[in-house]
Amino acid sequence: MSWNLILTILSSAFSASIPVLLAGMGGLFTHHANVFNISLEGMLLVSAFTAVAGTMSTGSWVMGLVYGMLGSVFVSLLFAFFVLKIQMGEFITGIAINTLATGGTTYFMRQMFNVKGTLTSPDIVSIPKWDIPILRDIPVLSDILNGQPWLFYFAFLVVIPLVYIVLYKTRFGLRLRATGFEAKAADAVGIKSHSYRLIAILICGVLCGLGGSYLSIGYMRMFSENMSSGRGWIAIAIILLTKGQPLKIMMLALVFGFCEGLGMSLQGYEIPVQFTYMLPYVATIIALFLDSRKKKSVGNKKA
Amino acid sequence: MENNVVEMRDIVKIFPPDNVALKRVSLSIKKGEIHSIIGENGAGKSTLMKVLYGLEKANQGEIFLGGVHKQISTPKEAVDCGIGMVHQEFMLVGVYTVLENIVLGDEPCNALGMLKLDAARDKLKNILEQFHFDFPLDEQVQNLSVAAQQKIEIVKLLYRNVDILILDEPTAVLAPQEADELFKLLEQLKQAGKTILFISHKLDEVLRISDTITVMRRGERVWTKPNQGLDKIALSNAMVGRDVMLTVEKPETVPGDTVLEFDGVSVKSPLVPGKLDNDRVSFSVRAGEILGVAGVEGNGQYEMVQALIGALPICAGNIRLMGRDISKDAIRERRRQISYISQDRKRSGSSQTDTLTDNVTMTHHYVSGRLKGKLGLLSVRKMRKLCDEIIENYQVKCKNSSTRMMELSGGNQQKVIIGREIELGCRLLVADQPVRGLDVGSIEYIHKKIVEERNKGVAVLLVSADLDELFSLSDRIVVFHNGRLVAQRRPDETTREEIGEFMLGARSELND
Amino acid sequence: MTKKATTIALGILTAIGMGMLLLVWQGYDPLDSYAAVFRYSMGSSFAIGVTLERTAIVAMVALAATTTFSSGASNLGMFGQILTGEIIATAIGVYLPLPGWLLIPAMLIGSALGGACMALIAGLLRKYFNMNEFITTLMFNFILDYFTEYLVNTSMRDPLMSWPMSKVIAPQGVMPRFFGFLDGSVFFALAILVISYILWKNTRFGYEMRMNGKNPIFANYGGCDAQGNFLKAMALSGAYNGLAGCLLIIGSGQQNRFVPGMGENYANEGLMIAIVANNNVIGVVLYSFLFSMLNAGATGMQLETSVPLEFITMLIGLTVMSVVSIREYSTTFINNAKAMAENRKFKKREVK
Repeated sequence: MSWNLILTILSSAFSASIPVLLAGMGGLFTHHANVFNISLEGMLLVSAFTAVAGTMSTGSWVMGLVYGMLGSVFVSLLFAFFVLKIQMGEFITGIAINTLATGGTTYFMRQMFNVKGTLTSPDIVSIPKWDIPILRDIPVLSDILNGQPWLFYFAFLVVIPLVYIVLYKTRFGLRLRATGFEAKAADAVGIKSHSYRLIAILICGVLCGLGGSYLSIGYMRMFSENMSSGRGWIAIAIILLTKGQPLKIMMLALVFGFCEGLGMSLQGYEIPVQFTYMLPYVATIIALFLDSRKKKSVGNKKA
Repeated sequence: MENNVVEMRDIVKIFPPDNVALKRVSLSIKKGEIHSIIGENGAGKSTLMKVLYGLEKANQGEIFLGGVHKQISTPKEAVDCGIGMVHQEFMLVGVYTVLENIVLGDEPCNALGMLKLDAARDKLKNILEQFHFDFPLDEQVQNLSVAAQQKIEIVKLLYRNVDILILDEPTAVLAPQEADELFKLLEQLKQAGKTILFISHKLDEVLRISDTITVMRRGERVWTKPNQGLDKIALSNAMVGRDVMLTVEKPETVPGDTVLEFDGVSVKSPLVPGKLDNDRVSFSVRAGEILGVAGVEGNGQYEMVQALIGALPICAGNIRLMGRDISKDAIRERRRQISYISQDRKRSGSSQTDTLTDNVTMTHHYVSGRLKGKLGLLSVRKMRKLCDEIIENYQVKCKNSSTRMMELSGGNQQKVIIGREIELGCRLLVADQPVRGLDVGSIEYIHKKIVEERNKGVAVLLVSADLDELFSLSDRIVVFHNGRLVAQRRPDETTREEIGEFMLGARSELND
Repeated sequence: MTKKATTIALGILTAIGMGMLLLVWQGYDPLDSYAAVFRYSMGSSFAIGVTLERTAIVAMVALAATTTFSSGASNLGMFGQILTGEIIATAIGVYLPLPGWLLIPAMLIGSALGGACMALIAGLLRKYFNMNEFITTLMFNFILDYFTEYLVNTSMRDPLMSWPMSKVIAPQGVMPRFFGFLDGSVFFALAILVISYILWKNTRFGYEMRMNGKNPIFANYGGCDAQGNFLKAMALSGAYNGLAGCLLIIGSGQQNRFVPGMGENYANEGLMIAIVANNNVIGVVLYSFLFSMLNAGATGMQLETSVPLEFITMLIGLTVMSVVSIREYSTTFINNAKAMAENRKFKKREVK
């Protein structure tokens, strides 16, 4: 394996991990609020679509990002409405929303752009890439980390630390987690657990919006049917495995990205393409397996 | 009027769809008194206090504090008015520390919202010193004892300068000595100028500590009197509206063969590695006797029952049922011979959203031949017949066998469960807190049924946190402390105080 | 019983109503579009046959979802198990030279077993390693999708076709048609539905499944073998999916060969049907039929009034959400109304 190949793999690893990472960051808020949120997949897909539609109609990547986040926030509001107000059950709502997202994005792609399958166009404006002065001069790191869309740096350097601080060092985070652990206790001291759940869902919408936008106008420059390809589900798996800890989510997201990057880069070689595509999903199962070995379980788990 | 620190007028509270919990209740509390509100379960005392504390919104009625009309719609507003409540089920976040729990909702922080918990420590120090509290502020709450947790709940209120404290059945989870400690604390609080509202159904305590007593029954206030010249009979009559049998008639029996034997059983804790929830526990129950198990909650009784049923594996010793070692049997096998009334009727004893028929079929569906229809399949008709029989024989108030479990009152639900379990006809009946939270009528009836089974020769294992229940029903009592059986007595050879000492570990009769 | 019937009727009306509103909003003629849907799904015996064949298939998937929802197991691997069924049916149909009366049962049994195995694997991973079956079955979907694609790109590929797909199965493996238009799958599905109904209501297994789904703790203490029932539920659920996959291959109106990615929309639809029918077998039948009608007629609608196919997917999703929310909210609504009535009683007394 040549050195160049390794660098390419690492570079795409970091980049590929962003959508999952951001979705994970968003989903961890609902996890800590004890809301079983499986609509991450739908949020990513919708925001990927609205981001592309946004750039195409306005010619600006800024609006693309804005539209992306709006799309995802809309989905999260829908989720919040059915789960919190109608009390429809988080699982059912999640499944229904994901279905609607799949059908809806395909439908509107056809209606608005007269395309089936994949939407590419020179009108899609992607998020500008940054050429960071100091970074460009460091030999190996520059190949891996330099020249990425700026959202990439934002995600790692701003979003992750911010999420960590908010969750563990602020009043908001303390109350949010209390709502998740013991909603009764929170209510009894006057914390409106209902509101915190809603805010958690909205934050999830915003962060997934960033993730989905990155997917369609950052990482790639197109929208294709079912583009999210299970990334939302993988984010859920990661959240469950790490119990919602931001730093661990980051690490697992990188692992996932690595597998995906590996998969894409190995395509030219003799391994059938389908097996390389399978990698991230197999990796998730292996991660689950490894996690189970760590826990020493005593007693009847089903009780 | 001016003396009344709290006045509630014409409070109406209806729980959808048609449960009128409070029927125009009015209540006046004087400043600085210990005012007890008694009534049986379901009388509305908790609901009334929850309205005062802002946890429930009244449909009608008004609240006046010190003569001023106040609108209390949330607990926060109540606390701002100086009213605080310590609930029966503690409202604490187990994984948070004592400090975090106390300040939750009122956290000191800077302009950005970042936590500054240390600022609270000084204020807390004063409170802790004034009332001689002593717990580690940085320990996780779930690691502390139940009595300590209760005190933390009180500190939470004192930290917020609450003057009126509402305590909802505080002694339900305490050993007699811990209850004494609580009463001393209440006196101290009274001396410091606080007003105490004490909700209870334990008449001895109420008579001991109250200045004033209010009786509630079926959503109405019956009367309010100063605590002078009152006795238990007057109180219980007011509570129930008729003479209550405070003890159960129990004929002398001669116990038969040993049905259940625990022999040196140890159970490892699934939650805390290295901890033994049961440590070499040995006891036996014979046919025709009731063995009462006493102990403060969390000392291993629950795990003992789980091990008996088969939900927790044992790591030493064995369990024998009618001579046969069942230690390795699955729950399915054991239930052929053990009737089980679980602690938590909503979670483990029933399926709330299913019909009574479906609930009653459980366990019978593979144990009893009564339900077999054509081709060995289950017969829906026979399932309904069993349900109808239970409804009739156990005086269950419901529409019919297709009613859903959750539409029945707590007492009726428990009767269905007990009917189901007794109809299994097993030689061993395990009853874990069988009458917790039920009205007096149901309690009387269920106690009667349990004694009936004992008279028929069934071996009964009764686990309860209520010493009155244990003393009135048991033929023998054993006490759990820290996972070990520390004493065994006959009720007529001991007193509640003595059992209390064993429960708290102040005494022990272990051999090693 | 009447409450269930009203909810179902309400659901169907909502579907039709929402559809009309959506069509109008998007600028299509609702009546023409519905007429086209009806014509293409019920307008001739051929159309009815197509609709019913589709109903049979999606009802199987809905049964799988019902089994999994009712029993508390989370089998989200519908698609993966359908694929398993499809590929096994194809393999048997292409490579096993058996006469028709042996071949068809062989394919049915093989695909049922295949689907059951895939689900069972996830169940065992849960039992022995406490790996969340929710996630494992989901991951299997993707893995199986790629794997089956690999198979038809290589060993199972039909050299005559330009796109990668499998060879056509032997002609005796195709389901026979009765009365000229009714595919055998319909009768097969009917039989399975009847058996499933009895299984659910009248067997110990069915009872334990239901109880385990509603309250697993209660079922456990009651002596139900929680882990054993969980595995059985997973296997049964997988078997239904496998059968659906088989029917997708052997149905007389189908392509009778495996094309990569086929069956994906059935997976989702089956889930939706189970949700909207509230896991009720009769409801499953009705909603399967309704949604199949919509889907079968969708091609016609696209031809005549140019409403895109995906419209139906969205419509189905929206219908499910509306019906379920009405159902959930109506109980709260009714309870609140009753409480208000009680409250008024107290106000009246004051006036006296």
